[in-house]
Amino acid sequence: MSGKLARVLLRLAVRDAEVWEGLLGDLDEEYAQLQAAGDAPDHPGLWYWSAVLGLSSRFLLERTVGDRFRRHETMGRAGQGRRTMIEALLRDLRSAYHVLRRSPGFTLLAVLTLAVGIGANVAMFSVMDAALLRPLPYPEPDRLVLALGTFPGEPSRTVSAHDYYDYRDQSPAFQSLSAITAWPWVSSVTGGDEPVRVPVAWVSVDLFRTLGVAPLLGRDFAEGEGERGASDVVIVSHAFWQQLMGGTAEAVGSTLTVDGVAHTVVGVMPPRFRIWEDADLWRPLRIGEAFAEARRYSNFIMIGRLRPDIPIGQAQSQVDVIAAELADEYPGSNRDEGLSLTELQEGLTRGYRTKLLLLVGAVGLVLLVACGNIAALLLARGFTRRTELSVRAALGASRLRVAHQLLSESLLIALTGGVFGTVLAVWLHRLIVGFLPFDLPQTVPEGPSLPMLAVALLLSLATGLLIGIVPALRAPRGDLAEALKAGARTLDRRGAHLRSGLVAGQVALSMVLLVSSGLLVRSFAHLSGVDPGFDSRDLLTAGVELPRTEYRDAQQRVLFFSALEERLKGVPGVVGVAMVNRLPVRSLGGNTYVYPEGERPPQGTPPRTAVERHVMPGYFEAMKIPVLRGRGILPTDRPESPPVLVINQSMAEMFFPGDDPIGKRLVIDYDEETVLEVVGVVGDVRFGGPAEGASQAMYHSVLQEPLPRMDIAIRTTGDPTSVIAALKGAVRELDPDLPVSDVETMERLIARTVGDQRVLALTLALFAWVALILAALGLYGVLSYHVSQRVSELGLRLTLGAGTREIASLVLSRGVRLVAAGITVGAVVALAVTRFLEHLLFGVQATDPTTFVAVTLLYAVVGTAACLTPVWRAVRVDPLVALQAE
Amino acid sequence: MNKTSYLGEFEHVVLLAILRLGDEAYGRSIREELELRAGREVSRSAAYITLERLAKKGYLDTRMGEPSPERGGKAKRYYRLTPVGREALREAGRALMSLWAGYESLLEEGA
Repeated sequence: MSGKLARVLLRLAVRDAEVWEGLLGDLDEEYAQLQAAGDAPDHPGLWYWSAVLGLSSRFLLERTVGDRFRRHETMGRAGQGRRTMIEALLRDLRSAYHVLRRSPGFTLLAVLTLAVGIGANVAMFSVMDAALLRPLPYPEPDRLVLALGTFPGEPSRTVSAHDYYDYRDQSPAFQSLSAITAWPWVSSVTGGDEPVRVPVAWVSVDLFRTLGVAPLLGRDFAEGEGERGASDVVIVSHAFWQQLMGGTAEAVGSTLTVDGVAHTVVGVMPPRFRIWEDADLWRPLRIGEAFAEARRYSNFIMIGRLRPDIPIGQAQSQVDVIAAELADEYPGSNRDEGLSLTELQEGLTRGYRTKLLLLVGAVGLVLLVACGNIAALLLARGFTRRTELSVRAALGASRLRVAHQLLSESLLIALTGGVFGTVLAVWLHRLIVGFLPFDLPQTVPEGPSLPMLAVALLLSLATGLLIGIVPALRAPRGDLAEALKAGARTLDRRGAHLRSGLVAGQVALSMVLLVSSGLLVRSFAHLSGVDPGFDSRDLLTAGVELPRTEYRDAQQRVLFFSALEERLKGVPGVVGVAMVNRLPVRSLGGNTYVYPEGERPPQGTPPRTAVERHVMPGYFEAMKIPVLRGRGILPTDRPESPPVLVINQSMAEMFFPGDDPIGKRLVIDYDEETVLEVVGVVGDVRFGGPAEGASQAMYHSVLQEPLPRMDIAIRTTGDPTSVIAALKGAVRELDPDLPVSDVETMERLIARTVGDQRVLALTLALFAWVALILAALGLYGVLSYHVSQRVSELGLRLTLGAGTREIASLVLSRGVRLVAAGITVGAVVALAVTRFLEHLLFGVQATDPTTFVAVTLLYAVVGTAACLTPVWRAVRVDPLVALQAE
Repeated sequence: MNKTSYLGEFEHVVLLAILRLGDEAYGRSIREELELRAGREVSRSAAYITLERLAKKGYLDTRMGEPSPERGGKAKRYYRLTPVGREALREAGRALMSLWAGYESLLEEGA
């Protein structure tokens, strides 16, 4: 028979070697008999394991609890220390189980509430764990750093391949320093199962070694493969290998045609390997490739591994010196450029750390509010069960034992909720990952992870204590006579105070959530209403890049884009075509030094920069950017005519305050100085989308400086996506091999820039509503209970002539007092908490009075609604019935 | 063990099976005997736990047999009633008999 592990397990459970041997022999014999009788189990392993597990668990139970489960043998056996404690605990849990089974409605409600609360928290934790807590899946991850370029006004920026080589060769702080393209490049690949377009990243040949990740199959790039003229090689992602290369070992060594050039596949990366941006192919970086050619082509970010014992601060000082030397040596491209080092994990998560922590906090608050509800319910139950508990106490149970008993009930509820919650969390955390608007630095495990289970257990225990501690402290003393005499008539004054406190606390907590989500929702509404400076509706955007090898000549480029523009204008439904080297929202960057002629800034003064764009004539009209003075770019602005510049309003105000800019001359200081004449002023545009401010900008005529890469925006009368086919057709007619990249409507692009804000606002709003409903339920519960406890008093009042209004206001005022107390505390806490939201807010102050007032009003309405039924019940009390009940 | 300690119903049946099997009473044979007599399946873990519990109470003696190949080279663990065990069984039987006395006819009539 099989199963060494099974035998070891049984050995641990049974302990006695002879018993164990006998059992194993019997199992073998039993199996042989089954076989002989033709009854052999279909899965012998399964049969064996189930037998062993059954025996082991029974023997373990026998050893820990003994046969004291059986009542007649339990007497006279107490006083054995720890064993007794475990026995007592098990006994408490058993009786808790019976007690809870008697009120299935309450139990189900409590367990489900906690399952959702704990589940959501565990799921959020698991996401946070993967994103922020767990070290990156590389050896010695704390030595890995992310190096980004800096420039005045641009804190994170790319560097050129030349810069990379200089930093690599000159900085002794790094054991190795590697580079990767900052944006994936979409390439067409043939040679696999079908032609596809996939994201490609260029990496320095040592990137994977720097990270400490080896290919799953094949080999890493060799040192020589980063040299010009080396054979073309490529490493593919696991997913690419699986889906497009059949997942066979023969893939290594096979040939893929990438953008028309044959490449040998030398390796396959492990599953789920991902660094910086998603990529399916990695190609070795070589000086001389188009984007690595000149020092001003900044297309890379760097990842380095520090030498052991070199702190990041020391490495930073070293690269600062190198950056200053490079700026001196190559002022045209490197002036004012710096390099900033951060730990890789921090660098990769910087964009969303606060947002994620905010969600974790919010979901925690929801659980707290839910705990409040259940604690209040338990408290009320504790009071109605007072007689039962007093009888127990009178029969010799110490107060501690009764408290234990109550606590074990709440623990059982919480643990059961925790079990269901964990199951829920496994499903939820995948949902959350899909929903989050940011890329996590490593994949979240599919199934439950160990830290996740540990948190689930801790959270369940904490929840159990939290909801059980108040009722347990209220456990009655052994005054049976008092309890029996009192019956159900006595008011539970202290309990009532506790419940009121709980409800006020719930109101306060949910108020904090409501205010936070209210602020974010308002901020998002603000963002959605922002005018980007052009008409973003009915615009289809795409990019076209002409291969530099085939379109060397400037005239060829102009001809191509002019022809494309003509064709697109002829497409039915198209009312305008805008072409620019970088469309707003879609392609960012492009800051350049500029100064008015004759005002060259002296050395050492902060330089002035502006966003630089090259546009085709008709750009402003098609984008609906207003021309405020002078003119836009015209078809007559050709190479042979004087170079012209159109600037935006901010730039006009900054460079020529109180003066007419038309006819003024500006010097663009990039590599070499160019003098241009300002011919027009246009409206400001928010280049980075609604959340970004407008920056100074200037527009050239692309006819005067033709670039090979242009973004296209097509304005349509109807649905912009209806002209996608026409766009691709037009490009294909002009050049069949030319890809059209990233076709997307402008509105989707803008929505994406505020996607984080939207998801954050929505999620928080959802949490806030759940908390509000829970708090309202809590309020309703407390008031209903209050009324039911005072039926006889209310009856008496009615008999003595009290009117409906007096009775109603009696109940209502109680509800109002609770809500008012909660709101006051909540508002104060919210004021303290929302400060942390400040930098996530757009156009709204963290102390926004509108939000605070609106939430308070909302609470007034919801609170009143929660009071209505109890009030109604109170005024309908029949004095006769109430007094008869005595 | 004092005499006030009662045998459980299952313990009672297990002791009877061991008595009947004599020298051939070991785990597997006892379970077979129980299933044969009781006419229903007997939980494996219940059977073994009861055996060990009875041994611990001093009702049963145990000894190990010789290892055999059809048992994966493992020996049988044989059980035998101790005098205390016999006394307890007799005691339980007697109690049961006296309880039964006179009921047989009542059941007949009631049927």
